[in-house]
Amino acid sequence: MKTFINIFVVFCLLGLCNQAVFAATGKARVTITHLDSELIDGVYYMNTDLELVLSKEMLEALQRGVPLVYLLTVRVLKPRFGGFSTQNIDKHVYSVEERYELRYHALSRQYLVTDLRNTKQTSFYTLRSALEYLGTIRDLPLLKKSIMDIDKRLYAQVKVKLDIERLPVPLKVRAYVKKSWRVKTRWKNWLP
Amino acid sequence: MEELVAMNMRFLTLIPMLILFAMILVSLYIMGTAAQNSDRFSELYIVLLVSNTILLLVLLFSIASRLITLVINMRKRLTGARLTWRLVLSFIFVAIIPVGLVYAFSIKFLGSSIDSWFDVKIEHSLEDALELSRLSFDYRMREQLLLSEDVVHELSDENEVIIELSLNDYRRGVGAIEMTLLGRNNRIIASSSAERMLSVPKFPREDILFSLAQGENYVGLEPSGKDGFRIRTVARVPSLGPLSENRVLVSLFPVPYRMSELADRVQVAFGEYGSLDYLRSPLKQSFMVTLFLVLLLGTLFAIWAAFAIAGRLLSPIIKLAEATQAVSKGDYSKKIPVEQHDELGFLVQSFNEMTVRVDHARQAAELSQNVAEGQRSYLQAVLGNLSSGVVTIDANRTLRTINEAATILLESTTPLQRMIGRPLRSLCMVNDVTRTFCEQIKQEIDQLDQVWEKEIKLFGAGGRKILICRGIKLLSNRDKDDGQIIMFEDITSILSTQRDAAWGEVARRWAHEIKNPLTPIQLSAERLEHKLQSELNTEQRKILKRSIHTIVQQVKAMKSMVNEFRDYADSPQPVLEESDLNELIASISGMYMGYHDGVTIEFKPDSSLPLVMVDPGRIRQVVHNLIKNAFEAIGDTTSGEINIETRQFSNLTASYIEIVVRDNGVGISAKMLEDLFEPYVTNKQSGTGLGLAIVKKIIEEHGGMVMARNNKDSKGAVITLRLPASSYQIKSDSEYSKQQLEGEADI
Repeated sequence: MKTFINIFVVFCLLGLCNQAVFAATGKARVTITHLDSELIDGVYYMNTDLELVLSKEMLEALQRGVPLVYLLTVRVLKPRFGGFSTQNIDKHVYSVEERYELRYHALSRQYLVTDLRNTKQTSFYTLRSALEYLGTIRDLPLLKKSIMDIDKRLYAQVKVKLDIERLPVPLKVRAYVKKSWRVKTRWKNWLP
Repeated sequence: MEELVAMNMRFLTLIPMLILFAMILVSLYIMGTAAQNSDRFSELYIVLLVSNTILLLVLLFSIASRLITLVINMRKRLTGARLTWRLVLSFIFVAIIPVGLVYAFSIKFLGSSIDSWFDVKIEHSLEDALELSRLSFDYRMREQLLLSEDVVHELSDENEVIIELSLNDYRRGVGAIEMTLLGRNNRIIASSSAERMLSVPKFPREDILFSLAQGENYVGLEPSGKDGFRIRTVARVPSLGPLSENRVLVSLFPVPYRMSELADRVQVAFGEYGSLDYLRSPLKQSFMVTLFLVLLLGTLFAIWAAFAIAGRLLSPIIKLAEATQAVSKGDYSKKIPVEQHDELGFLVQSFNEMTVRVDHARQAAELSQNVAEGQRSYLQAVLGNLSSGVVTIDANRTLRTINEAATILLESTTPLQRMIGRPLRSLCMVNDVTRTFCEQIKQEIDQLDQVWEKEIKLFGAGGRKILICRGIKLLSNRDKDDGQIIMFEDITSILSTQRDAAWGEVARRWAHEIKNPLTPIQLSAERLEHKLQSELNTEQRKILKRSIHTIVQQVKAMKSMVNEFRDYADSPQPVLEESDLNELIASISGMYMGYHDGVTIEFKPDSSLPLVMVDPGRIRQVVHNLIKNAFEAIGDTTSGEINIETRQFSNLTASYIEIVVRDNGVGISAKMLEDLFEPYVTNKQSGTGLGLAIVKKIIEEHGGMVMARNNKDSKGAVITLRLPASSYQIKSDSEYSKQQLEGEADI
């Protein structure tokens, strides 16, 4: 009984926490705070830290059951003009995507983070934990070395953004237009 | 106009436009379906939205430019532009109003029906279901926790080796999927799992640690994707002593499939409902956008249809309008092709026929006008070349035509054509000749006979003129007075020629005939006297002498009368020479001074009298005759007066001289005044009565006129002789009449 009451209390507190901590969400953004790679057995593994902030609309959508998908894209470019790499016109050689879904589970009052590639699901009682977990990407195998070896001049970039395409259709139009939904980072050089 | 039609046709040709519209319609439909969140189309949604908007904007732009061109055409007043504009406007109204209404209502109904999906009761029941699920899980979770706690109590006083061996049994005993004993720093002491993979979560988890720190064991529900739900417990193993490490047992319990499934369904339903509710307003908005695009499409289609239909429908009307313009400018050659077989086509056909008929009528009118013109010119030429004067007046006595001969005959210095349009009265005031002319024909014009004829005596620049004037009344086709034609001809010389010829011939024959017996009579009488003189006594001789004398005297008198008459009738042409009339008259009147004591004769000459071309002998004869007549009229009295005057007149139209002989005698009776100048008219006992007739003849031969009247204030008569003063060439009568006939008479 006591346990039950404790659990209940914890749940309630956490429920309240959910609201309290993130009531003052600011402008939605995602920022790459740390980025490095590890080469293990001919595969480049990515370690990255992301800072994720949700806007009020995103939070509301999330809590009403709309899943938010974050898309991580890695692209490999070949510079067109000698030593200068201008990312807008350099040639696309290869790209790979990784998606993470953040969703609110009403029954257990938890936030679920799912890696859409392997459908591995992790649950969190607080949004903050979920976002922290989401923002801590470790040992993500993305790129075979052999791809980079094709040309010495090749370089890789990474970008993280909210995948608007995965939003339900009625929201998509709004998301395309409104700034509060356009959450993304700039292309950041990863390799070499 | 052509360019308007061509523009319509060229730019908005039917087939590509319809294809375009069809494409837009299809993509709008797809968008509508996609808006309901169907995955199939959801990727396409944004693409379609953008492409449709672009297409519609292109359409909008092209139609707007058509509209602007139309407005410009209207400003420039191109044929058909205004009609097209009105048609387009009507179409826009007809299109927008119903479509707009449908749009408004659709949005409303759509909104209402979307709103109706979200019933508060359903929301509550979903929440209740969720709550129920939670409660049932709570119950189960509590159970599992108790089980875990039992296990940890068991484990608390066993060592690690034994735990390692027996963990599996414990796990199976409580029915857990997994059990893991963790020591300090998350060191795995022992582990047992029904599955291959360990699902140890990353530690530390704040919430769990928090709970443990409070002294409470943790139990939580973990959604595990495909595996449904799992219940995880984290129980602290009671420590053996203060120095022993803190150990926790992490267990993972399954949830029955059915419960999982149901709970999952509730959770999913709740989530979907919630997200749908959240998406309510964006959903409504996306429908509004789609419907609005449809509205726009409908309107643009209507406008395009307006242009196309206007082009088709109005093309014959515009062509008609243009052709009508051309016809009004006189171009009858435009033919409009008949393209359709409806009322408009019929109209076009009728128009073509009408144009042809109008053209024919116009040509006929032109032809008849030419003919009339030709006739008029011909008439003008004829009139112009006539030697007779022709004056026509209308019913209001306004001058309608006057020909050149009239101008000449009436001696106007300026052409009388300028008087056309003015009343006849104004003609009268041009000069003396016209005045006399008018006075003399005035009565005739006003009388009722259809045809009239009159001789008019005028005194013009060339002297006496006699015109024969004929009038013919014109009647309109309703027998109304339509004016008159007045023709006049100068018959002066013809008259005198005719008359003289007649008289002369008669006189010559008669004189000859009369004279023949006269001589034998005289001779016989003289012989008788001579023979019988000796046979008779004194008394008888006296009687015989007296009788023979009487016979011889009378025969002589008759001879002289016959001679006189013959002279009068058959006198030769006057021989003109420049004479001073004053001198002439003075000499004659001088001769009569003292002729009769009781009568004074006075001569007042006009000193400025010019020389005139006259036959002096004849003029002398005239003066003699007149003076003698005056003496005879005065008779035996003591206060007889004879006044002779000469005077000169000169004005614009004529110049003449007058000789006036006035007496204070008995005057002329009214009866005699009529035939005064006719031969053998006399009031005298003696005399032939030829005196004045001879005077008239001589004066008229000189181109002059004789006028006689009584004195106004006193008794006595006034005889006026008027002679032309200009260097008038008296032609021989035969010459004159010949010239007249040939139309060369100049006056």
